[in-house]
Amino acid sequence: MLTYVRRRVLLAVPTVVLTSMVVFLMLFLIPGDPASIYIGEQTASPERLAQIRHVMGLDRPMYVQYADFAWHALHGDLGRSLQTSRPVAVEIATRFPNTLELAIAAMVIAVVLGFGLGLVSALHRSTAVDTLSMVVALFGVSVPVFWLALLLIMLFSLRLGWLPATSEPGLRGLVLPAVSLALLSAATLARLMRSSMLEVLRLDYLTTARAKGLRGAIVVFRHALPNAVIPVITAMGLQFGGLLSGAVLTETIFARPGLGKLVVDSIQNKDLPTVQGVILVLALIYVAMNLLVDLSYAFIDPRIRFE
Amino acid sequence: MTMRTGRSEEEPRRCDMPARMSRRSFVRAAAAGLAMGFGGVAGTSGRARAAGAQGGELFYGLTNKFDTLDPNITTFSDVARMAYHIFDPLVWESKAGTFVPGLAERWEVNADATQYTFHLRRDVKFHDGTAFTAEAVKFTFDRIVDPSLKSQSAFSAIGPYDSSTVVDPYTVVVKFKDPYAPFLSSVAQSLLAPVSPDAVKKYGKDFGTHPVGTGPFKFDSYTTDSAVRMVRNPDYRWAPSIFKTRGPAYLDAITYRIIPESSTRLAALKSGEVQIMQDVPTQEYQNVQRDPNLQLLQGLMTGSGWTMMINVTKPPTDDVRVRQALQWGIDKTAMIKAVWQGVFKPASSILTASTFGYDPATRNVYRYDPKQAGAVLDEAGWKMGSGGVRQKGGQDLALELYYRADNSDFTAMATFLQSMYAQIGIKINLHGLSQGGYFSAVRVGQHNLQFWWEPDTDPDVVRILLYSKNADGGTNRNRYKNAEMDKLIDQAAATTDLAKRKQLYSQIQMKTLRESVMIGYADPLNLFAYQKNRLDGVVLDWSATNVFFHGASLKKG
Amino acid sequence: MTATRPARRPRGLWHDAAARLLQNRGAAAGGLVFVLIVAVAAAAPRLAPGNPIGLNVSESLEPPGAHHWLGTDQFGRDILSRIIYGARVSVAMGFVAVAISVAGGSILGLLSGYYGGNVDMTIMRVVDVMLAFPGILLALVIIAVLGPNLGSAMVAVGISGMPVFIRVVRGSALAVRELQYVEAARVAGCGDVRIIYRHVLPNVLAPVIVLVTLGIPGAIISGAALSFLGLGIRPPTPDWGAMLSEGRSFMSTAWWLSTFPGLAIVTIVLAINLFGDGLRDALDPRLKL
Repeated sequence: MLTYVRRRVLLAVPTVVLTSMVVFLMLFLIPGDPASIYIGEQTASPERLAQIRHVMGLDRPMYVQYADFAWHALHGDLGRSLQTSRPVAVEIATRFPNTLELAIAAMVIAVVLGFGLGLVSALHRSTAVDTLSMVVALFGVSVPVFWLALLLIMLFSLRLGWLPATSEPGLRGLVLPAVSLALLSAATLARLMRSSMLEVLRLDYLTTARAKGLRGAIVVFRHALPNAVIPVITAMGLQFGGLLSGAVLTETIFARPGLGKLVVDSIQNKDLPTVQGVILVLALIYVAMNLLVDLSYAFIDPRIRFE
Repeated sequence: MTMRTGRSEEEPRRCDMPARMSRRSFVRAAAAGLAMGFGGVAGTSGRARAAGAQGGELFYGLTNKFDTLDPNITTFSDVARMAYHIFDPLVWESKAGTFVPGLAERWEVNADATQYTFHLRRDVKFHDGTAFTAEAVKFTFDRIVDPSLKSQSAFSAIGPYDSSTVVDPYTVVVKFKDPYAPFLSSVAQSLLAPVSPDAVKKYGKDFGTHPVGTGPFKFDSYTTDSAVRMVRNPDYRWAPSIFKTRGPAYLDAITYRIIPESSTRLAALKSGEVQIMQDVPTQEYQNVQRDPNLQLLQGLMTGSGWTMMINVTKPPTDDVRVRQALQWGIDKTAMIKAVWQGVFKPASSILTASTFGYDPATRNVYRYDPKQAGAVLDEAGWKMGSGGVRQKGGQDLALELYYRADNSDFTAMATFLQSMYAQIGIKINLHGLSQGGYFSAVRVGQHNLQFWWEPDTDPDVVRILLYSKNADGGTNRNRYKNAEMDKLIDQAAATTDLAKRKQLYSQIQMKTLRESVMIGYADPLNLFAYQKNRLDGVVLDWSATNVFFHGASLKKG
Repeated sequence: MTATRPARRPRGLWHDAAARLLQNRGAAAGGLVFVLIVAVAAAAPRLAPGNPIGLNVSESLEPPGAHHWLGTDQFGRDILSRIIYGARVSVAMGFVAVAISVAGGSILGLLSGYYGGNVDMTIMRVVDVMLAFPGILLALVIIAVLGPNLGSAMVAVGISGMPVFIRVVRGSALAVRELQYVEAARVAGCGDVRIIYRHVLPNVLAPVIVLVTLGIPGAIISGAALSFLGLGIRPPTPDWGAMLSEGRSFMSTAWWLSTFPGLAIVTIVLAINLFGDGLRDALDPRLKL
């Protein structure tokens, strides 16, 4: 098990390194000069522009800039944002909890709703309950998160005034963003859960179990569910990445200071150190999520072993 | 120009005031009185503070997240708005051209405006307990011109700064390389407000999240992109005479909450999450006016409003007749109705109507007249083609309009103008770009047209727009170089006789219009709103840019 | 049926699938709605009651009514007309972006699965990198490089949709490669291209078709999201995502600006999803995509 984890972590290294190189290269291709963006529409003499470029370290060749970044990153120093001069680590650290909070809240909602809906649907196959659940789920996968967010704001913030539409700290401010972000994942999980469950329920050993007189609930929860849940968990791992994608939009609409917003702004500003830092963090999360998903198989299904 | 150029890439929102603030123009004479003095616009001033209303925490709806709380570095007008409460300027500009003591009790200027002597108050302490002295002033000014600080707005405001000399602990002499009459106006801004040298040394590059000044409020906390909180400075005794109190503020604390989305900001005001907000969206203007609980605070922006810069070097806009057709071909009232819901005022010049030197005669130069527009285009050889686009020598009359796609004001204006000018047979090609792409394009003059927006307190703002030295990749994206214009601008800035000065600016405006170098579309209004039953004693400054809470108080509501 | 028709072949996978698909009422309805939307997009100039880009400021912000069924926007443009024209952008976005995903994904997936070894290793690392970016970020970076317009939005959405196709095609190719008849073909001296074309491709077709139908709505939503962020199509071309975004600041004063384009997006996405679900069930109920 430990060997497996170690191997997986080692395999992730090239992914992370490659990602950071690709990001660096692509950001270089973005038109514009960070110093010139920093100056914006202010008057600046060419000399002053050159000075600022120098202070930002942009007058060095690209590979030197990358090597410098990589060297410092290896030592845990992500550098300072070109635009705010704050340490990138601080920029990320102050926003990461917000994004994590949002993603986890959304994931919890998605899992509860998705598993519940999928399970109910599968157990009441071909009934009105099933149809209704699946129609809801179908809507869920078809409504764009940004529109849903707008509708929720219109209804709950502007009309009813129940919930804040902004990044108010605390639970109240989390409800609308988390719900809008969760819907797509919930619906996807519900659909998967249903089909996976139906498939498992058809299997022989369950028929046997039922024939042996085991009660329905036991059959479902002790035998069927663990098996049905495996593909769903794989999907959850992927969903988490999707949640981060969705966070870009949700954070923008609800003005939540999070990584999503930070990275969108930084891409526009050509703020290389900040983009690098955020992508690095996201890549690490991705790798960790995948590992966690794989390991969870063993937890759920003891037959799976990692050598 | 003073657009949000950077970090504030909130979702494209309509009609929020652009966030970047103006650099001070290079040479500026102390401007003459115009607009109203402090409190004049505010509606609720004068009244004595209601009994028992002291204290409480004020919540303010701010629009933009920002780069830093360091007033010497920031480029965001929102930071300047907050910084007036954490820092004090050396002097205050109570109305255009009139100055009252701030941290400096009195001051002298030498004859050619190259040397300023400030005599400082002796009872002032920074929030960290260190004494405010001439050293701090010198430290602050030297800091601003240090390239490693990457200061922008303050760097412009300090102009041709040479050096500061500490004469004694409470006297400092500031020298300039060239005459710099506008300096008083500059030090009246929070941009040049003295910072605590000890705190700067202590926090280094992180001073921007640990600002330490002398103001009526001490910085308390900053939640990234979300809120800035400041608490009352109980030792404050040096408020300027323009406020109701010279002593500590009544409010216990102020929290500026960053709420970029304008409709949400307004919802927060209505529900009482904040008691005052800036940048009331024009869509909601009428609703706010009708709301019995809300009070609008408004004033016409000073400087140059929403304008179009026309590249006079790139065909076909190198032809003055094409440029003039753009003036006759625009129905500004319709534009304002479509883009700003009719709230802003049609512009007639490159200066807004509330700016000193604005010439009302500019209203008679052009008016909406598509026939006239067609006539000059015909005369210039651009004949109406079959597809509704004018042609000459087989070429379409097509103009390239560059703008930043992340700003919804730009997008709306571009959308409108494209249809508007199509009616007189001019095709506008829209290039909505990210800011990097935009700057790379317009700095080298790939555009025929691009928007501009430039708040300022002095008509010398025309230097930014029209001066030849700013033409090559600078802020004069008209790429307009005209010796006569340069001379007029220099003369106007060096003239102290107000009538004469006004007349020079009139000539500048008329010349700009005649040659149609720029088009003024709209004079924007700065719009604030607050809960009138809760908040008292708010003061809006004469340029309708900043609201001050030095003497404000909350009522039980 | 004519007498000259050759002897009836055994019913194939496709025939069965089509029959199953037609029996699925949801799928049929979804398909029908989608075809209708495509038809509307194609016939937009005939169908639209007004000019989608013409200014008419005197009629700005009119609520839905007899004159303008879905109201007008701030420029006085008829929203119904803009939605009808906007269908063109959405449909094009869905098809082109997915075509890019399919083309790129199939080629890379086939190479990866069929050749294995270092080729596979390299391509899979690339996929890892692409997946390590949350989808929309990759699109954002690509658009930042190419400039914000419809073309780059399509490319961006297409590229960020590629990894799924690469993985699925690779998986199928990998499986097929080991099959006996492919071995046999190789022993018989068939070239790689021929084997891929004759044996591997047909086998990956079913999952790819299903992926395509499920990918189109995703692409439409991503495209709309990019427009919503101001990075998609340029004005004045009507686009649902951009309309939604423009309507945001009118949420409390003119609800119709953002409501109808949102409904339009949901309708097309829902329709294709319904159809796609049916198609998946019909082609291979065991496909888990």
